[in-house]
Amino acid sequence: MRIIRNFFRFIGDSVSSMIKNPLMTIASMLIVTFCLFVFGVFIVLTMNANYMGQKMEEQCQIEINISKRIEDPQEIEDIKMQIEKKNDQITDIVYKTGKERFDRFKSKLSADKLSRFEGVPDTIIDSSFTVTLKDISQAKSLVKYFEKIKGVTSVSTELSLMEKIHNLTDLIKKISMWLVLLFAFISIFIISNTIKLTLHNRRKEINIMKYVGATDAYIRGPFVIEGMIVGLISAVIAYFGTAYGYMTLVGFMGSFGIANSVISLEPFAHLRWILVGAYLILGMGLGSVGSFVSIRRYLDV
Amino acid sequence: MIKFENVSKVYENGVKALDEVSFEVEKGEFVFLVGSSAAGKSTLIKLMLREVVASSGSIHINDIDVSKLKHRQIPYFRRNIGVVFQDFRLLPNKNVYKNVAYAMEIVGASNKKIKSTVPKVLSMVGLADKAKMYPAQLSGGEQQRVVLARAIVNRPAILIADEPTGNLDPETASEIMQIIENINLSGTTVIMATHAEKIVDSMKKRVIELEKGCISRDESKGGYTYANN
Repeated sequence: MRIIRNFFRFIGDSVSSMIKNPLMTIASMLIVTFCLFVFGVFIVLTMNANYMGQKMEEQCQIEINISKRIEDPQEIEDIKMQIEKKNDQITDIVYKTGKERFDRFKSKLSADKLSRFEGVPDTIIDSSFTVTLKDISQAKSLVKYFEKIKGVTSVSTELSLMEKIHNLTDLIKKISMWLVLLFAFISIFIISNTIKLTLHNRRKEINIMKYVGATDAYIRGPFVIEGMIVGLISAVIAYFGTAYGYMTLVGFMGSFGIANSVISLEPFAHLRWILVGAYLILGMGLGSVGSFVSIRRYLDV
Repeated sequence: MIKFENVSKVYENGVKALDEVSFEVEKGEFVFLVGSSAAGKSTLIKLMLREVVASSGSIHINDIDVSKLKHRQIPYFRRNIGVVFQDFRLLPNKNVYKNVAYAMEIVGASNKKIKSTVPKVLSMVGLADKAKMYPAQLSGGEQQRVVLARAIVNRPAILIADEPTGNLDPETASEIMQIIENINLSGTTVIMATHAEKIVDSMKKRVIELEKGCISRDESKGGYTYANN
């Protein structure tokens, strides 16, 4: 009963203190919100680097060119069955005839360049199977396998480019993760110092409470709750700020036609709960733990 | 009730604030602590409040050996002692009512008990109509009354006052002293450090004079100086 009564008294005291010290409260909230926001930006960066890397790797394709002598559908089907033996490493197989590939090629040309191909037979290009890989690291072994299939004339792939893209996205992911950790520490440092400054300003108040006979726990209670409330409000503001900024960026990229299948941003719904969790833990957690720890030096009266 | 036996206090910077001080105060007594600045009055009070620890000797208050108190026991010890300071020391973000109520909240008093007790205590000190005002809105005398109300609301056995009239004009000081005397008459032991010569001379209570950390005089009905007896 007493614990419940004290809890509600603490909430009342902390809210009252926040209202009575508006400048300090607002300053603390702004600092915590800014730290959380920047921290969130780094999280979003890391997750999008991961997402884009995955999307790029999903585009990794191998072109398996089939000999012009193979026209019988059964022979084509036999080759497809050979390819499908590696189904655990591929996501898609698409067959295109030489004519379809030539038509597609011509459709991308301007009128004056197209005229150069007048009279060129459709059979100039081989038929092919286009295979999309699950994992770029399997590319080399798959190429070797496909080259050995009877009826396959050549296997083409932008392997070195794909590997470079893979390495680049890997590097971006690692750097982003380190930046997230670094900024987490910076945020912890800044928020802790903000709390210390707030408590330093209220040291006389804490002193008086000790003289009157309040226990350390009774003095700490309102300050810990105040830290949690400031952290919670800051987390909410930072979350909506991040969400608004992100949606605006998505809209901006869409309106200028920047977004395509490779560099589109991860849907915000995928990021939402990670951001909520990170903001709440960092904001409320630091706010309460920071207050709990920082007040100790003022309790030794 | 209060017993100092050969108490000495040497601070870290080497200053010897008290030197083999011994005295006893019985329940219900009113004692003035007088002496020039740096005589050791504040140190004596800090020792009683367990704000500092004696370098040697023993201090017993209400049969408790103060020097052996652990950190977590100190708040419970202080709840039996009402304290009044020269600079008032009210909580600035709480109104008069809540400043006094705070002393009851920390001992776990119910809201019902607080609602019935605080107004009575505020009436005792003449501040019944100022309950909703904040310290910044009060005069020095009114603030000191609030402090007194907070100090006595839990009916402590001892009231320690460190220069309670130091920042007050003579008329207001006199009013505060009347309240403190009434508190003493109700059975509370009062220890008051002061430079207020006229107050000490007029009240004719026990006077302990400190000089360079030692007790130079201890008279049952003394004046501020020996010549004023």
